Amino acid sequence: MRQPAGVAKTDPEQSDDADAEPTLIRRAQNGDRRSLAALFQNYRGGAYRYCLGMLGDPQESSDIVQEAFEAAFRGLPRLQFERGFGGWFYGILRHLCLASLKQNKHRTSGETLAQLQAPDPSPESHVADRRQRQALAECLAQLTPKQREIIVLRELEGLSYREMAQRLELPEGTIMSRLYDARRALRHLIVKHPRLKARTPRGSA
Amino acid sequence: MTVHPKRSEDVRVLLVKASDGLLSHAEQTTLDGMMRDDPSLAQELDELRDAKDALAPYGVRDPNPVDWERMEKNLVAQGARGLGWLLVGFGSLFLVGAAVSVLIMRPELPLLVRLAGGAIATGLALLTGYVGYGAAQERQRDPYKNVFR
Repeated sequence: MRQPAGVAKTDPEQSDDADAEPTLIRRAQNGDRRSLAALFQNYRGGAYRYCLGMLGDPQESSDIVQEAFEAAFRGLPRLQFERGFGGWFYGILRHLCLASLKQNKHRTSGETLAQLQAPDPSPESHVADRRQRQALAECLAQLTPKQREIIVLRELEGLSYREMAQRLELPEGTIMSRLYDARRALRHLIVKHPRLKARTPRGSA
Repeated sequence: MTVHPKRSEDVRVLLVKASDGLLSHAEQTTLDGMMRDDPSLAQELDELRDAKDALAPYGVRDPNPVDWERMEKNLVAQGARGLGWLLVGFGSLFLVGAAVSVLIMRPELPLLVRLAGGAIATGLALLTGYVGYGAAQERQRDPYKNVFR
């Protein structure tokens, strides 16, 4: 699997020490501020990027991340350990994101996407990159929520099939099947987009 | 978009794994065989790769780190306060409930005092229900009432 270095395809804040999480949760359940802060720090980056990818609206995304943490911290005493904080928290976050998508028309911003490699510093290249990002963000916004979710997790967050299956609590086969639909839908939108037509050399027979 | 027949899940899985370069040797052999029988699969695979490549240079932008500090401060304080209030709330309700039940159950006390105890118990129950209902209603109307902007 591609694991690019740089902006956001992996979560640099996620703790490597998975064994520490049950301890963190127990302490957080007792109101320990450092443990609450550690849980927040471990999950905030991935949560924000998921929301931003889904909604394309930075302000709404940070509001929903906060709402999800509030709900998660309020419900900590009821947390079932076998599901872990991550599965439970992302369940809340996903529910809030999908509800928000149903309720609102979100502003689609090209600023949602960030280049992983340092861009060419010339002004022309900067403008072209900005337009490209805006166009791609528009295509992402036209996908169904389920298609967008799968594209965000795979293409933008760089999660493996197994990680996606855990996050969405679905079998890996279903994840790959959904990814097939989502990629085809995205490719269809890219081919139709006036500013992106030129960039589909392979499958445009 | 080229129109393709509805693929079975097995074929979809193989195509997705191929577009990600994750096929095992056996899977690659299977797919190669399928492609010989149905050349449109190669076109489909190219389309999946196009979509993947379009987003390859990008990730989702990280937010300004200053926002995190503020959010963390608010959330942690709220989380810690929440447990405190929960304990105080339950403790107080238990104590008042116990005191009131002792008042009501003691026949040697004047009836008026026992009636007052009953009134307090009923009032507390009504207030708790009313406050809970009001909070639930308010939360339904404004999902972001606790968001600090």
